[in-house]
Amino acid sequence: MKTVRTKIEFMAALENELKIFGVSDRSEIISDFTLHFSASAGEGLSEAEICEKLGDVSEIARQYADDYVIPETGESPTPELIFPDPTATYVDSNAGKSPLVLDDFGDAKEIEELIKAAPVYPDAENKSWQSETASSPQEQNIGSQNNQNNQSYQSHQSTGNYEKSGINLQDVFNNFKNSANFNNYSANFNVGGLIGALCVDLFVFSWAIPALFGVVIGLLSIPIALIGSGLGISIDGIFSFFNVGPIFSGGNWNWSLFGFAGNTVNGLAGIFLGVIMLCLGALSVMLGIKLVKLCINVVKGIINWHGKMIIGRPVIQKKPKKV
Amino acid sequence: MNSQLKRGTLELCVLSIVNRNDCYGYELVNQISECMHITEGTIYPLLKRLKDSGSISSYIVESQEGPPRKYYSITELGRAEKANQEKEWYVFIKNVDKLLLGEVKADENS
Repeated sequence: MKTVRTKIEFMAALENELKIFGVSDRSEIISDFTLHFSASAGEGLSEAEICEKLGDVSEIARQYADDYVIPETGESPTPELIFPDPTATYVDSNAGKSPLVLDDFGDAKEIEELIKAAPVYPDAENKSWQSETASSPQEQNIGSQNNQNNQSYQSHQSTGNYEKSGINLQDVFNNFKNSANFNNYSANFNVGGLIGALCVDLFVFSWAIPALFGVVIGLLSIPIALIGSGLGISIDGIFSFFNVGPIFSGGNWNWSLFGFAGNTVNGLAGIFLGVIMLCLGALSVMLGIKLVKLCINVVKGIINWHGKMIIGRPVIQKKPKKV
Repeated sequence: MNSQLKRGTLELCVLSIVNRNDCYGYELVNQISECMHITEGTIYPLLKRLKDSGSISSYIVESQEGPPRKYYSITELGRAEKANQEKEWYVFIKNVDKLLLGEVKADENS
């Protein structure tokens, strides 16, 4: 849309766009904006400034269309149904400019870039759209023109094909559909990412893997040692009450299981010590489990990072926590 | 700022302003522009929609020293709608806050 600079240009463009979008009670809308111009002029703004602040005319008209309710049914028409009036003619041509879409308040350039960056899906050529809705020659005409324009749009050549009325709108909605299909989980193989990931791996894992080894061995051995010896000592202490096995006392060899002399104090001490060690062992098992979970999460994170670098998306999805 | 969020709350903002005082279009545009960055032209479609749905009504005031002004005032329906949306808004931000704080806690546990 060529930039409008005067009130008359704005009004003419608005009237035209509203007609294209099929909005019927235009006179009230025009009068609203006339009043706006009067009030703004009263504040000392120039017509060009007012036009700039008002924003894009086709965007405004689209919003009236979006809010438009079919009088008979009270429903809003779906975008596909808002067929432009093919008899209306543009005041200005859209040569070189891509249609603006989507947001009232967003930056138009930003949105254009987003749409251009969206991957092209197989039905982006709109063959399915065409066959669904093209029932009359008029609509087919629009469809094929749109197809042609859509193709040229996606090859990033804004060659000014948007001279016919209404093509603009179809392009707008189809591109909106395509960009709305875009989600973050397409798989793109990224060679740079692969090389980067490999470099980081070489750099990090040279020391991280031995460290990890040490942690694992420690995690395994500490509980085993504590529990094993705790069990041993407490059993020994228990058995010492029963005088089982050989015991060296009074110069004679008697046999005992593990060598305790077999008196009560030693036995109690043994049991006490053994129980303490068992408790420590249990604690270390619990700690160990927590550490293992942490390690697993770290590993998952590393895998996801590799996934993001190489194929552009995380590999392991986080499951939502049960509340 | 997320434009979808802006668009969704703009109606509530307009209803709140008109609820306090009757305003004319340009005045409304200025008041809103003070608080958030918007394209001025998009207020008028919103006003028309509110009028069509019966939430606000308009009347013209002729003026000797300047152009006529179209004032908007809120209706009973509009008041109810505003109260409804206001409640939804406060519940919404409370829940978002909960999530934001909850998110921090979840990170500590993972």
